[in-house]
Amino acid sequence: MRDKNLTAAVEAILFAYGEPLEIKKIAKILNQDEKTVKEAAEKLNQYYLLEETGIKLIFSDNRLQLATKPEFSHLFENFIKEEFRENLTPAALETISLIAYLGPISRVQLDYFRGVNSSFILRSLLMRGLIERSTETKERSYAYRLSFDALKHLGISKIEELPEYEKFKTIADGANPVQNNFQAV
Amino acid sequence: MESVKQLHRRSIIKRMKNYELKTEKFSGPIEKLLELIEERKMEIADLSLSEVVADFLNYLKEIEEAEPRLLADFVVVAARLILLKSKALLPNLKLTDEEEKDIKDLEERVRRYGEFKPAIGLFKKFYERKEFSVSRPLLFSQEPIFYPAENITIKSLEQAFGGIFKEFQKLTLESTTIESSLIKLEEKIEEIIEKIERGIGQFSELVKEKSRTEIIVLFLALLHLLKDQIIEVEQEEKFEDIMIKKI
Repeated sequence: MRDKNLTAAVEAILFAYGEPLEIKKIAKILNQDEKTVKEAAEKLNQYYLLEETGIKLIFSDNRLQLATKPEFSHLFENFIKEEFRENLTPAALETISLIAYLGPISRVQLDYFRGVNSSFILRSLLMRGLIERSTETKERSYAYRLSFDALKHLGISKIEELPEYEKFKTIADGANPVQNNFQAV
Repeated sequence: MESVKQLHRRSIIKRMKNYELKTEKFSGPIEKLLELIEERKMEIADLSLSEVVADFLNYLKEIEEAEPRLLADFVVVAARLILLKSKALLPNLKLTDEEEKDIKDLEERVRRYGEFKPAIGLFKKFYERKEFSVSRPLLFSQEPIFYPAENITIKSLEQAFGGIFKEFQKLTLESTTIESSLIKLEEKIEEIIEKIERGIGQFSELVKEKSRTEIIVLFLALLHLLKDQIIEVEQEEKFEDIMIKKI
């Protein structure tokens, strides 16, 4: 498949599928390697930056999804039910901010940061679909990150678009829970 | 219509929220330390941490009364603070390497929390602004194809519906049954009082032409009135009629 067609094919697949799709899977459908698909997605992303399109690409955790550009949200406020209308409590806000800037992050790290057990808040954020978890960390514990739905709610394409992302991300570096530590169990 | 799963999810979320409201009035221990230090306009260092020990312990008391479940996380921090304070008061006190490390660690965490704090505000602003993206549901444009599963029979549908019905019962029945029997008991108590006042003094008269459940509730009502010493009863022999008199 020629380059241009490949970009269009990625777009077609994402449009038909609707939900977040792993790059690995797209590569399999197109019989291409992941690197080629990533490049095609990057081209698609460039194209979507044009003002003439109302669509954008969302990236997270090696997955892709098509979504509308946030500047058009007012057009469908009346017929789209927004699930996150209810505001977050201070502790939930603190926890989800930490997950947003420092994620993927384990519960142990979260507890260490906050100095208090986060398991209950994590469960409630998971239930509300704001975060998701995966078992990728070395300690075989869950790693938490923002969900695609949360990214869409925030109107951003990837987590790095959060204001001052790099600055706050580095604060976490070196914040490794010491073994003899008092993180909540 | 909402699915059973959604309903169930909703009820869980509701319960969680109630719980959150209770616990989230309190700042976490690290956040609290930072607050106390900032109130005094001090820099985070050994010394300023030891200055806020008393206030921190007061806060701990508040927590102990209102939300003891959170106490453990605070006690660990308090222990380190007290150690720090002891060191400040007794210069000769020698701390082990580990204790020194713990204190440094606490200081470091409060500092890091302070550095991260602005991010929470930034996130909040983003979270609350009204510009969001929308995407399509899974395979939205898929045309419907008639492709029934083999196991769809009247019987399997009936079973499935029975299952749904059971789930619903789990969600709703619990509260309704208790409520109705509570109301009944109170009604029956009034009914008995009223009848006694009208001169009816035999239990057999009270339960005449009543359903089994009502008789049971009436008997419970009778026991209640007896316990509250509003009536006295007499029964000559087992299973004989019960004579009721107002005290």
